[in-house]
Amino acid sequence: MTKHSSKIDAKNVKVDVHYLTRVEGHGNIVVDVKDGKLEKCEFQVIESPRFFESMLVGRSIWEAQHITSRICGICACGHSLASVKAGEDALGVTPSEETVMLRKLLLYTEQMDSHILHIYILVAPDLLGVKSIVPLVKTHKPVIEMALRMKRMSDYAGEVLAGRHIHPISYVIGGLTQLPSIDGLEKLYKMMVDCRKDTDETVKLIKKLKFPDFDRPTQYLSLTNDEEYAFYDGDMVVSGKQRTKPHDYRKLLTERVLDYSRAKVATINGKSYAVGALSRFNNNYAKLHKKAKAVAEEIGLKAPCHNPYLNTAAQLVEWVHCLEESIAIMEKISKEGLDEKRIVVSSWPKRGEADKAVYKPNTGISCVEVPRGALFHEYTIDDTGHITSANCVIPTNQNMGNLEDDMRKIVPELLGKKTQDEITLDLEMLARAYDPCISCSTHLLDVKFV
Amino acid sequence: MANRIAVVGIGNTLRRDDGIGVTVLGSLLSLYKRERIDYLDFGSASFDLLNRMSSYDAMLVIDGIEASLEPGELKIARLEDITYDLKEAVTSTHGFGFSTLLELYKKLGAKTRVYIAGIQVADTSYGEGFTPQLADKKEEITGRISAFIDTVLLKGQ
Repeated sequence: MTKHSSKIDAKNVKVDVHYLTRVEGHGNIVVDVKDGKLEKCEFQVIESPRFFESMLVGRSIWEAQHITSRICGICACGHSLASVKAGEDALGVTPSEETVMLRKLLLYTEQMDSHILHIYILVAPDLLGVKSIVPLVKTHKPVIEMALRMKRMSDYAGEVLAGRHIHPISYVIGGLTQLPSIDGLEKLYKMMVDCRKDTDETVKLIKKLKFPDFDRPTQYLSLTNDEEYAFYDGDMVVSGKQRTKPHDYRKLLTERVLDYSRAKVATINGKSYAVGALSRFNNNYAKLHKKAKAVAEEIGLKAPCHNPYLNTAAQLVEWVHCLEESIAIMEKISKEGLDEKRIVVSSWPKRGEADKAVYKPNTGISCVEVPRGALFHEYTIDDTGHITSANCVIPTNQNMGNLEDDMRKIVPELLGKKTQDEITLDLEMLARAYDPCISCSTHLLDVKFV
Repeated sequence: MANRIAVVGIGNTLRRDDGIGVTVLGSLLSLYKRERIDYLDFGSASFDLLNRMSSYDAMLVIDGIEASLEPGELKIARLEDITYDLKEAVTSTHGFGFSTLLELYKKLGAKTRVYIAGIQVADTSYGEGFTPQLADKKEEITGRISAFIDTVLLKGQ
């Protein structure tokens, strides 16, 4: 619990948010300023480790996506796609263009699903001065109804495209196990088109809201792609530089464990970095859909933006981009149809063929952009097609160090200007702006005693 | 989704008694299935249930509850007649608690008739299998909920 204080003290502040609310999972914010000196500034992840990488070891490469989609109930599609891409990389499988198009559509709808949840349900209460969405039903009922309509569209997209809203089942190595239904696609298309009006209203609303002022340039990591605003594929780029293939991610970023947190943190060039909507916006602004650019301009978001609170604004811009790109894909499907032969595959080698399958020991690596940022999956398989080692690098882990560096800069700036309660709220809002998915981020060291 | 009535099971079968909602749902489906009803296993999912609720005329949600009753005791009530402590749910760190969803649903003034079949749980720690008192009452609970479905939920449909 936070200790309440309404006095401004320029030299002593103690923040102990235990737990941070309106984020996924359990995390604490602990800040201690004594005699004007910042002695402690930590974002502690205190959830139990999940052991997903260990669970993968010994399992067939064909079932990895079904296991890893359970890492997250919000980014389940992103984990699933990262998994099938890594599997395809390990097996040397190339999916058809139509398959990739459907995967992009699924990824776009997941960005929308997560972003609208974050904007309206997790962040809006802060900006409107209430503790949660519940009081907003009384004061802003049409807004909440609009948010639920937008969420309903993205929920339905998961059902139509992937078999169900959470933990997709139809996206597998090489293709899909079944095509989305025509009726479902037609209904989804209509819902998407209807969402344009709600999107315009959301832009008007966000434009009126005041985000905290803060500025700290950092390193912004995201995928980048010469053809499009990269979510599904591309090279990694750090603030427009250091273009690196996902296969070389270990050369670019370094993970380490902390003694006060169960989440690993990552660095690039020895420094913290950010991933997520704001990083993608900063690196790939030129590739945004024109309507998304217009929204960015309308709400005053310019690249590069160094205010992490505006990650939420970048999410709105991405919502517009993903909505328009999704509508374009749906119209292409409506016009050209889907060729089942080029998309539908079995999810596993057929029973009679499984024993005869020959596998080459190999390592597969992938990177996709999920709502919170770049997600890496890496699997090594043996000559039976079973996984011998696995590594998943989660966006929230990558953001941890950057969040703490933001906190180290903002706390001294607020000393003497705000009360302890106000500083606490600013720090909570800062952490929430990163949209952390704390449950996903938990890892544990594999310790061997000798 | 042609049916206008749904029975929903909620809970996590890896947290012992918490899984009673989805387990009873499975028993209803295998022993007392009615053609006019959609049976939905929502597990530990939450937010999307809010959208699903408004798609039906009537819905029965089966869930484990903590109401200081004897383990395995069943209470069925209209959503409007239930009060609960929202303090924890509002500050929930895992998205939305079920009680927050219900409160939201009430305040939004939705028209669906929603009933809650609450079953008192004893142990929701990690693990599989129910506590003996709950396991002993599972069949009786399923039968009583089935009777409720026939006499109340389907009434007027």
